[in-house]
Amino acid sequence: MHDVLRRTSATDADGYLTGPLGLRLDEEFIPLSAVHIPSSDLDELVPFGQRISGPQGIWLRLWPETLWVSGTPPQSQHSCVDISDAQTCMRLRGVEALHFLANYCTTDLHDAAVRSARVVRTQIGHYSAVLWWESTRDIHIVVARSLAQSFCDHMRSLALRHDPTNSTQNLRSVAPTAPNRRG
Amino acid sequence: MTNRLSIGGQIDRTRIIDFTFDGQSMQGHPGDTIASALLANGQHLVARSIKYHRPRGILSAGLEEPSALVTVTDTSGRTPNLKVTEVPLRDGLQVTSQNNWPRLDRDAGALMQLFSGLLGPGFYYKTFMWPRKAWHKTYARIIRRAAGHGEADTSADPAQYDKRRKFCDVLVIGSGAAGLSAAITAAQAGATVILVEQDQALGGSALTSSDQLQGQPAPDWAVDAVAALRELSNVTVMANTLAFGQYDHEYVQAVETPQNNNATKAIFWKIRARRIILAAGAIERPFVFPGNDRPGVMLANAVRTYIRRFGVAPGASAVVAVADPQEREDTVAALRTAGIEVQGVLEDGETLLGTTGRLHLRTVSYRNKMGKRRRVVCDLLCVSAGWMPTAHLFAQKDQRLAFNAATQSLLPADAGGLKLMQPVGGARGVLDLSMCIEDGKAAAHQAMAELELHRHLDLPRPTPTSHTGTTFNSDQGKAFVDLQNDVTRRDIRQAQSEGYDNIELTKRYTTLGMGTDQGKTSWTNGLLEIAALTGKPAEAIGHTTYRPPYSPVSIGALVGADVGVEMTPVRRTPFHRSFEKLGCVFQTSGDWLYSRHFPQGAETMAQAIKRECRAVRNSLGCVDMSTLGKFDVQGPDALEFLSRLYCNNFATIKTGRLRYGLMLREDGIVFDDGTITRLGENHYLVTATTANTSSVWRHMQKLLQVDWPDMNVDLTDVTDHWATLAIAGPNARKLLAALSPDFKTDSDSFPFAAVREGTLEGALPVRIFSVSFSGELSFEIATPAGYAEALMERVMEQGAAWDITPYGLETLDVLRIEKGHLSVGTEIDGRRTPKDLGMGGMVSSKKDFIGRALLQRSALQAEGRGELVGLVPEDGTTPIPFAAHLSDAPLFEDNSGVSLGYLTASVHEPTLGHPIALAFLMNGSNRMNEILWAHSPVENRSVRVRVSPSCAYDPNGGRLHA
Repeated sequence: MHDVLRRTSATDADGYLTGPLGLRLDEEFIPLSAVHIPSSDLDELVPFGQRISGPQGIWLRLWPETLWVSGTPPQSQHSCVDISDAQTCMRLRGVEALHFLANYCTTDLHDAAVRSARVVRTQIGHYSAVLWWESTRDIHIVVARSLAQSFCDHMRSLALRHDPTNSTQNLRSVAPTAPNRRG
Repeated sequence: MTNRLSIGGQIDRTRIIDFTFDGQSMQGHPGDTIASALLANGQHLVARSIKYHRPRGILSAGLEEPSALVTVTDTSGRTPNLKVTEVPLRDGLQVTSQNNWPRLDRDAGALMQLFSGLLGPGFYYKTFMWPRKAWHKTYARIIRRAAGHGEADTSADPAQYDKRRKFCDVLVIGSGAAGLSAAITAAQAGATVILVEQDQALGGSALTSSDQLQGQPAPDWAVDAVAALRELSNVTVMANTLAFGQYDHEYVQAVETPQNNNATKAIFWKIRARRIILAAGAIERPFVFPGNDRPGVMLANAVRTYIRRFGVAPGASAVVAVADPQEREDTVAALRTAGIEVQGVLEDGETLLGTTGRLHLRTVSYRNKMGKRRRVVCDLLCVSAGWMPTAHLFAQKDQRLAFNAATQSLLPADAGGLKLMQPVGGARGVLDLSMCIEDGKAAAHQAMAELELHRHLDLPRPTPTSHTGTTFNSDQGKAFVDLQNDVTRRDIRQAQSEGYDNIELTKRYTTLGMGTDQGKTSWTNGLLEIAALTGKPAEAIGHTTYRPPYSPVSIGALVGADVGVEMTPVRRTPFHRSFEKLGCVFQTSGDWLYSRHFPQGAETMAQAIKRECRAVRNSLGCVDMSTLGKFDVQGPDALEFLSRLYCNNFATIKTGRLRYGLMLREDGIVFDDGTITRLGENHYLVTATTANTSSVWRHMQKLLQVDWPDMNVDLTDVTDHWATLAIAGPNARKLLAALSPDFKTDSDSFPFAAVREGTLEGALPVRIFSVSFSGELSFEIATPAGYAEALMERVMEQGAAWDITPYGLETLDVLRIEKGHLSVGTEIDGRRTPKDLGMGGMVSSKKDFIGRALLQRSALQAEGRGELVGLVPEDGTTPIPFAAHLSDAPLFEDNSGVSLGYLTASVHEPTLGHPIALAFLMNGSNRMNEILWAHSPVENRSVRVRVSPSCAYDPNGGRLHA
């Protein structure tokens, strides 16, 4: 008999990435559901491209009629499907975490709208990913579970390619906390 | 460093850098390029020309360099064909000259000059015509060996490369006066700015100018401007970064070459900007005159650069032939500052007659306006016929350049309207540095106004600087228009006379403007030569197509980190680690890394497959089915949606049961197959084949979003959520019971084609489907992927009682072929109707579905179509060759045979005890038991085969219901 049921991780991500940036990549499990709600109703809950977090958990609105929910889903007549194991959530931590990822995302992570929403659905290299963050030093990255190990290997490889001592490689095109100079 | 000036230059004299040239030790300083370091060490002879092996030196100080190509070896390997003017000097570089034997100053290839009269354009094609076969076998090989410059390094490149992205409001390309002015203006208005500069030093021509800019010397102004930019957090300054291509939607590609032993050798940047300001400056144009290719003949601007920026005297005594009087004066001043004796200064209308010197310039001859011939002993000739805007990036994207008679150069055409890339300064022919500053500022203000970051000031743009009209005449003789390709004035004349007078034809016939410099110093001269020869105005001749890259880019940079196992993402199933422990051999199947077979000891693959097949047929096996597409379908209209999607009828499907489903394309051809499981009143789970998962998902999404938006259906892709392990074999139900599910497992309670949800041992959540691909009693146990290893552990532990055998894709294929099941790509090949696959009876006549209308087309209903059949060898033992064609006659002896069909699959040693195959055979269902030939011209083998039903194993399906 097996007394304890253990959920195993999808990757071997568990610690610092080799390289001078001092980034740390870990896998974390978060329960996740896809909740289907008509966009007209969903707009009132979470605007498109935004997220809300609070006592109910995290709600990510990155599709017109689907909400990703970690925590308590909103009241709805519509379907709620468990996708906790369909996706793997990674955490990339370190001073340069967001700036590092910004080098590889098809979306501009420093764009004002993204900086404000702190959530984005994008492509990192060949990998489709959802990112969200409270701090630019602690980024949650969600990728398809079957691709998660390959994604980790890719992150390790990319981390080796950075040298913060090179002044020509200014990782910050705009410091996220810099005052808005457009005013 | 014999030619290093004692003072001056923007180099770090406190440090010495050691390098070698053709094995000879030399020294330079940080801030040097290889070119400046070679000149500082008195090395003027650097290369041999491609065709005639003429001695060549350094003509320029930038990317436009046509002659001085070398091979550079460093710790990462050997890189050929680098321009000495573009490579910053680093410690330990080994620089080697190219295209010479046995050595640079005594090159046997120089004998080619004796035959130069014969080696005009088209020489190869006119000469090596007979015998025809010898072209490929002999001539082409010899010519290829003789042609080219350096030799590529064939060893693996150990260096790391990377591909990255950047975004900004304004991208400024070039850091001269115009670029710096534009960048500062845009940054101070609040825009995010990226400034890229291909050189290691920022400042462009301001670094070597003697002008005063805004009250201070130009180099000081540039240093101040760069410092101001570096202070701004909304500006990224990227030196050593070459912007080489412009593409749609304000997308520019650039390659950065970090210095100082950076972890990455080159970074390929994909930069997307809202506006692009092209401040790439201008390139000086040489004169075309006899002997203009000799080492020691240099562009005047390059001479000033070597003196003022690198503190190098490129000669001891000089002659100056510069068209622009102001520049002429500046050049003379620079020469005198460096202590170089000025032996002569040519005036307007004087004629350059030629040069002498075996390996380096010794004399220059010219005739003055009075007709008096003068021969001057010198080792440096400074030439300049004018300037050509560096507007290549502008012209790469559907924009043309137009020849401007006033500037005597190709200028970016002003077509009006919104321009997302704005050339400024030298790139649009504005040569005065003060005017460049104004131009950069005006263009940046314009961009700011368009981006609504600034009010529209509508500042005036300076007009391009007119050519002075000063010209020097040229005498007859071997005068090179394109130094890199040894294209002479005579070659261009010959091309025109032979009818290759279109500009594109002239380029390809003569090779004018080809090669690594892409005609940066030769193209305008070529244009003017053609105009002079044909009498056409230069404006009417046009130019050839500008394409990326502007200058060569290493393939390593383009590839980035996508090498080896990281070339493409790899998908792993949730059982991957468990299978690794079981000694699985994996294979890629699409994106997936799939279990292929599980060898034991020294087993071969064939032995392992045989063992695995027997285990499944006789006792128990398990296989990973996680890669099948799995889609959760919910909603009041879910049944109607699926009914329209699949061609077979399943309106009566009950909760807890599943059906096989066949999906057609709109044209009536079979698209995919899978199962539809009813989990609840309005809740279904459908599966798709591994290969078609993405296609089916897109198809379903498109139908709901575009074709039937009113249907109330929710789709969720749960492919990766469920780990699915199939247990198959006569003992499968016993194992299921041993796994202690919280539901009954006997055949009455859990029949074939049913689903049960619950737990194993009261803890492990599972969904179990009684469905089979192997033809044996089988259960597909699905659990959330995080519990895959827990499931595997239990299955292996409990299954040990029946000697459970894990099996892989190879065995799965054998088992399904025996059973006659379909596989995407072989049987479902995009050309088959349900009837072709023996499933015509499944197609519902009572409902509408996708593909129904076009399935009725006469061609799809006609008799005689290829139909899926089974084959067995007539003698019962001979394996049937793979991919054989079927015929009712012996092998096509006279090549006149008719193929009646072909094999889709064949197995030689299945568990049936004899070989079998699947095939599409014309009118196959009516040919049962006929004897045919299976011919394989590839294997040169023919086998007599008997036509049989496609299902060779348990045709009544009794084993599935055990």
